Amino acid sequence: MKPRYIDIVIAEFKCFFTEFIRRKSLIIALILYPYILTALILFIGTIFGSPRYFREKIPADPLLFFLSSSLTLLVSLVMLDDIGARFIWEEQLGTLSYLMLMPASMTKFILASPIPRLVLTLGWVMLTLAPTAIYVKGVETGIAIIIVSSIAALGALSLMGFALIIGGLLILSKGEWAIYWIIRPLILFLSGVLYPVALMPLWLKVLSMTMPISYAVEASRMLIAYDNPEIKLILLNIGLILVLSILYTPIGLKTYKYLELKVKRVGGLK
Amino acid sequence: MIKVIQRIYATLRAELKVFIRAKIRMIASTLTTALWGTLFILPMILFFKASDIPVALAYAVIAFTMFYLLSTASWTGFNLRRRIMEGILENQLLHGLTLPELTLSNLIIGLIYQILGLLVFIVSIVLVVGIPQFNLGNILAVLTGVIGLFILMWGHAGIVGASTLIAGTSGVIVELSSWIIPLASGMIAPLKGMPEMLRAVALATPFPYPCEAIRYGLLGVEPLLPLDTTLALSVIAPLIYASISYILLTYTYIRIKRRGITTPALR
Repeated sequence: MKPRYIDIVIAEFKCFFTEFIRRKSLIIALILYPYILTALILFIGTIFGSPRYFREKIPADPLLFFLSSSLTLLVSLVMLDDIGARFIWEEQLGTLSYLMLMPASMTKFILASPIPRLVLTLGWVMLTLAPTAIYVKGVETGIAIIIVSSIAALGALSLMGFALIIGGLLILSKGEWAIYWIIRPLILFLSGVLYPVALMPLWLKVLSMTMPISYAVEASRMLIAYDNPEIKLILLNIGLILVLSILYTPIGLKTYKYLELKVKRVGGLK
Repeated sequence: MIKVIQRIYATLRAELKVFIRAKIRMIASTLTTALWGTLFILPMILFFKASDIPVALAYAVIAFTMFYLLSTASWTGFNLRRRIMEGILENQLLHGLTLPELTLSNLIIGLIYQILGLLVFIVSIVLVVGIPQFNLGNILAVLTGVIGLFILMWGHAGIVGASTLIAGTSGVIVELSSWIIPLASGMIAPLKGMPEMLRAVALATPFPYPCEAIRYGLLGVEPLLPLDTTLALSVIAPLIYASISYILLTYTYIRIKRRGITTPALR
């Protein structure tokens, strides 16, 4: 009997949390990463420059702006790493052939693999952002944090199809890590995770419009960091996330299924 | 001494052949450096008024270079574990190469990758934002700083490498330390602008001195200590750090020769 999607998700949860609890340094990293990234940018920005100029360009609190950006960065990386790079990672470990022998489809497996890390990261988004946001903007931001987490989740899920296409590209490149090294920061750059798309040159703006995560970044920032968020704009961004998800997911699934069959025929990536 | 140079030369030649053959990796590495650099520098310029952006870019380029150099040194040390996993380290040691020599040749290769990456990074910054405005004032300070920085990088790579081989340091810890050290030790920001408590911590480490010398030479930023003291410390402090590293690496080397590799958890 072929395992159901939910069975694979549960198996992935068990596997992920056993490993997570074993590797204490990973727990420390998860706690520290968003703060370190935010601290680095704010530290250099405020020592060399001034938050006044930041506010002149963006009507937002710089701390919340970069904290929400760092967290979106973490969520995006979950999808890119767990879906996009899963094939080449398993090949490097020598476990790809075992996975290919599984009765379940690889696509199903790949789509189940980021769920545990995503749940953990989203929990962390709420825990990390909540005290800082409440401290900076007051108790009323509590609901905004829950909405921001939902938007981040939506953004991450919208990235599934896109990550599947990247996974396909990596299979076509015969498991070349070097290509993934470029793709990872390029997507983050184009998504405006750390620098608002609105301030980018036109050609970068156009490219950024094709990235589903850029709308999630924009919507969550508006909601949590901006002084007077416009609900219409937030809803428009959420709508665009959905549109791009509908566009990318079927393409990603088809590409991945086709390449999965190809890999199974050849017996590996090379 | 001649034998030491010969061994380092032979290792470097072999590594350079791999470097030149792996063209895709070389291109990817340089592009990746450029992209990560741009990704981190762009948000920093949001804190400057438009007319100050060229100066801000120069500051940010220097800050990112320091950050990236320390990261390269950390990973050079940590990657000794990869050599264990690939079964290369034992062979290299059996052929007479010592750990300090191996660290030096690996660091030079790592730096070649980084220099190429930084060049592409500066080109991409020029294309996307504008030309950084440096204020080249004191070549002696730059040279002293660069020499001190290289000694410091070797010392750091050695300390991370030795602790990886002895205790099996986790990759996550190495990465976190590559973020925290530059932030807290005055590598990426002038000591004068740092909070007092952090400044005291920074002064107790060897990291800020060569960086202060380079910042003075390239940007005209006055160092916290008098210039002569800064220049002297920018070589002496890294030399002390490198000596500790040398002792640790030699101890690790003797230990490996006696007991083999005993790293408990290579992950």
